[in-house]
Amino acid sequence: MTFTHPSLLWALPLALVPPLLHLLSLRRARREPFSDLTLLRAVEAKAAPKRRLRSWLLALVRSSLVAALALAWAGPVVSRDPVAGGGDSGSGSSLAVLLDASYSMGWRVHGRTRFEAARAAGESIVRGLGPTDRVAAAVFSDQWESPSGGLRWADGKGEALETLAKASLTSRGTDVCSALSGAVDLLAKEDVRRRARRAVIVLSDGAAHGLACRLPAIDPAVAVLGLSWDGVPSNAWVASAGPAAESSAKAASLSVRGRTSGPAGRATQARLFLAGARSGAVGLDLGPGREGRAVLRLGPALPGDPRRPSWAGWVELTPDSLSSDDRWYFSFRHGRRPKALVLHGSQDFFRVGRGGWFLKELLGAEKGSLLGWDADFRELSRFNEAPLSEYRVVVLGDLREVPAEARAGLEDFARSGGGLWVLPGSSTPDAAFDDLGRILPAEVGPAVVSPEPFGLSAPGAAGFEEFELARVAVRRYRRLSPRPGARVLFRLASGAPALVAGPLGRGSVVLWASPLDLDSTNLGLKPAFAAWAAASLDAASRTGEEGTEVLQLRVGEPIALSWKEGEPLPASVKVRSPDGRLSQLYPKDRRALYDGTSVPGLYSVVEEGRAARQTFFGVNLDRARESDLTPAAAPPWSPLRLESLEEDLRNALFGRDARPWLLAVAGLLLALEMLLAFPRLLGTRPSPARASFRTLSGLSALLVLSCGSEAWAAPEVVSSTGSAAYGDRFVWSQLKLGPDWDPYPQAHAEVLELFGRVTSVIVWPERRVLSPEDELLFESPLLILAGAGAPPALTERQLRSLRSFVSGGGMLWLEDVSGAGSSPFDRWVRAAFLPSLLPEAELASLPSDHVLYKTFFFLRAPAGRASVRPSLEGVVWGGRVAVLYSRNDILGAWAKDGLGRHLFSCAPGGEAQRHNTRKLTLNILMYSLTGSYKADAVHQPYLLEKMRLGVP
Amino acid sequence: MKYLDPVAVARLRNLELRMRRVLSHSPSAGRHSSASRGLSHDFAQHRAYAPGDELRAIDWKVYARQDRFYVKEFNEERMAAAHLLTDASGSMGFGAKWDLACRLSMALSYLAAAGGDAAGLTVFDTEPRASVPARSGLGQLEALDAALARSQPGGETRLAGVLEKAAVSLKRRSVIALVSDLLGDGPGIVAAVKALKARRHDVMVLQVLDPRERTLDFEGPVTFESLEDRSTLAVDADAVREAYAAEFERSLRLYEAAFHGAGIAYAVFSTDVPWDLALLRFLTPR
Repeated sequence: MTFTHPSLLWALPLALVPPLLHLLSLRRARREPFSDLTLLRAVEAKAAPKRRLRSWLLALVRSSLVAALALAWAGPVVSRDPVAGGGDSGSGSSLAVLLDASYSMGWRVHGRTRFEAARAAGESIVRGLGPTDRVAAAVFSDQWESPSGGLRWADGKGEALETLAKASLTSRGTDVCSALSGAVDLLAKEDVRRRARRAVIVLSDGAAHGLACRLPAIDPAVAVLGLSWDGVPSNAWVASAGPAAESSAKAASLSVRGRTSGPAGRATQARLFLAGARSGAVGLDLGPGREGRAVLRLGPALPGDPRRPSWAGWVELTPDSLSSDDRWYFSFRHGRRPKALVLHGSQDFFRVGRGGWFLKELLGAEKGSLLGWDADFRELSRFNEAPLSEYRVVVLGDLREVPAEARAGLEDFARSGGGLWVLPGSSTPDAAFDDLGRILPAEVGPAVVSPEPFGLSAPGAAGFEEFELARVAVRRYRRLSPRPGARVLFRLASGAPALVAGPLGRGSVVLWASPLDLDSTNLGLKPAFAAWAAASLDAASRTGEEGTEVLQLRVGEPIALSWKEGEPLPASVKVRSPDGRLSQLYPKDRRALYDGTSVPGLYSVVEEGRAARQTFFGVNLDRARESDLTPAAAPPWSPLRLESLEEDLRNALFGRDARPWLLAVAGLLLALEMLLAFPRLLGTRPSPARASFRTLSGLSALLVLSCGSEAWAAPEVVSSTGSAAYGDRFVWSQLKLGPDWDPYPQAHAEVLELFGRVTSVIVWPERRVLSPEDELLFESPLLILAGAGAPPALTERQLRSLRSFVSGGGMLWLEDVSGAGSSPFDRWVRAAFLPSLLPEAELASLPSDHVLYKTFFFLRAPAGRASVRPSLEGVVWGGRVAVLYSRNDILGAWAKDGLGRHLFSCAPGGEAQRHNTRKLTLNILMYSLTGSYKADAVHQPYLLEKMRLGVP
Repeated sequence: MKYLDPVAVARLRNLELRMRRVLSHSPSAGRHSSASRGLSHDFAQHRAYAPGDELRAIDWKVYARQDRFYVKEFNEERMAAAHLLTDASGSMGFGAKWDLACRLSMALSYLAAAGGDAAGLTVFDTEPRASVPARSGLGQLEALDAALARSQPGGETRLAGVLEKAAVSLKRRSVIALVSDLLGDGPGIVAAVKALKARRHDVMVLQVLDPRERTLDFEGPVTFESLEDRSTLAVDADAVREAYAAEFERSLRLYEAAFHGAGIAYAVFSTDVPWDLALLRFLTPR
């Protein structure tokens, strides 16, 4: 305990006065003659012990009363943290304010996110600082988000307020420890240490995920304060989504994993969106803290490389209080089941015992492949008709002379990544090898017929230990001399290379030394034949394109693009982010890096000149920990409650003022003193002594009251600001009625972006979702209700609230998004809603010269995605449009998919109609803000003057 | 006379006249009831018989001589002995109690003498200190006043013993007036007074008190010194006042109940009330 006026503690010895007075009063007894003491003695004997006890008790009470008053005068301050009273008391406070902008702060309660509440709290704290105080404000997630890139002392409160005001929610995780470490370092500097009070204020959600790190050592003289929140939030999120185990190029499917945290579970639906359109849904039962899995079947792949079919889109849960993690963007491509094209010279190749027969039996045109390969068989002469892009490997069996055109095609195929497997036939002329010599991995010598067949060995291939390769008999073969860079996979027992593989461009070429005919080798009859063929095909096929490639990143991770040697290198690559930003990358060293993945979404990558080859990268929040909003069991800060922010801060910085408590004790003592001093005063004449006590009591009461008034009127350390979170910005307020209240979840962002850019209105970037009874209803001039279906019936209380809103100056914008001549929403509005909301007013068409058409842009007619009705309708109340009703789906014209493309086309006017719809939307917003301002002429001189001066 | 000055005598004459007016309407002949009323030997006159006269009052000798009925009248015997027992213990020295006691004693003596009765006095504390035998005539008053004037309150009280001695010394049936503050052993005092009554004396008790004795009107811490035995007691007067006053009143109620039950006239005379008015109230038959 410390005292603001310790010198007044010298008044404490006054507490000894009452006992002394008591003793002195005993000594001052007068001597009086009295007739007879018999009766008096008896009375005194009976009452003396009780009276003596009472008198000493009275002395004690009075003594305590004086002591309590003296202590109260001295201004006692009780502080749990030693920060209060430390340092130079006249040098003010030093505060480091850390605002958490991680995405978990987007948890929304009553239409307000924790981030907004935390920022408002931070602004309130900063505004309340005195002239001698210093403040450093910074925004953090798992990194510093402030433009300054760290924490530094602000030049006055204004700068700190600006830092906080400019902060916005990020898509990143939380690392409180690093931020705290920075603040502690800042406060540990020598010039700061001399100051009276030092504190770090962490405006975070206090979730355990942000504190799973090593906390810095904190000077005990530095108070660490943090916001405390009521309740344990329950959150459900998509933990991951990716190709299911059974997913294949032919039948792709998506495995979705959902999770929850908090006490409440949730049964929800995972909805699949492919190419911006809803493509399916599946139920997910997420119990408390449980994980739910589901598999969604995907439709056709995106247009692109048929050998690498790809899928991109997102899967989302029904939005909850933290909506940012309810969507997962996925992108992956499957390697299609490899396919080989077997070229042959004649049908003899497929006679029993010939090599083609064995290959056909193996790769199975009729019975199905025994390997993981499909195969087509085609004559070499019809090579040009083959769609080479579908094949991974071309098998040249029964090699004959290869026409030049086919030879060039094969070479191109191999260089662009295809595989070539060359099998010599029994009657293959040497010239055939000469023609192919340029692309073969080995020089081919003349045919050798060995009197004794050779066995095989596989020095360059794995997995042949269980086969008895030595029992394979190779009688006829060609002598191969591997070229540099080539590798020998199989050898004859004589040591001669039997199977040689070598690269060619992005592909590879494999050469087998012996015909597969039975008169050359019995390999086709051996169990090792299938393994040998698979090894040969694998050696010939391109590497790195097998299996499934998942193109998903976390926010902040760069998109790394690379091109292999031989692969065509584009001059540039265009990357389009989900918010529409276009970046052009120029590969360097066959690599390009895009590091702008700051928001989640689908990022499209297009190589220059290969527009058809569009690759998507799904960028998602790192929700490994961040989505779990379970609060930390013991956060390293003293709690600051939002509802008593200033009081808590004052108590933490300056300690808790104990004066009220002491005065309360003094009051109790005073009451006790009066009880003891005047036990039976009523009806008897007060003696002078009693009168003096009464005076003492009265004085004590006066002192108590005076001290009390002083205590209550103690100077406010942090003044009340009461700043609204949204300030004076325009907030898109949307009414949530029924399950289909939000047909276009992202439309508001588009509207607000244009509204803020085109007009001088400062907008709040996020929307506010309200229920009809919400008190925040009255903080916005415009309330939007959109839908196609009929919302549920409103209660009388809800109607009363909405009636208060529209009759009190608010504007309700009803938007029928059905685009149809008749819809349940329209029927609900006309038959149920408006008659009960404003029974005394009628819905009427607004004239074409209504001020709504000129509040910002000059328009001649309404617009929208559709053209259902040629005029806007409205309920005029008090000379203004209190309820505006549009049936042309204005918001639908704004809606975009995850790739930034418009979801709907505008009919019948196309983009011109969309343009007018944009203008009309802004006019509606302006009308809600300015009313009939544009209909008045008062502003005309100002506009004319502005035009004359040429002010932009 | 010290305690019977002309002003006091004038008040007593008024008191006497007012008592006579009151007594004239009383069925009894006087305050002092006599066992041989109408049978006195003090002849007064003869008067002609009138109907209603008692037959035994007819003087038959005169009838024999004059053949007329005459009734023989005597002076009725009205003289009684009033004996005053005045407490002169130390407690009587508190305030104006002694002066009031002396004045009450002299007043009663005057009323007795003026009525032709004899008046005697005993001044006592633990023992009888001064005693004046009962005699009639106003001259006796001088002796009584002188005896009172000579006495001063002091010493302790042993009222019971004194009353016993008085009862023994007073052979003749008398009116005994006890003038005292009755402080001390209450039950003993009541018993002694009842013993006097039992000897067929006509007993009246005049309790003389100072108002401060009843209310303990002192402030704060006080060390009280007893006027009888000089012992002391330190008390907080404020603290014990109520309990003391309640206890004192209780003792007065006990006296009143005990004396009333025994047919003994009893009254409290406070020094702050004019003694003649209090005496009138006391002597007026109830």
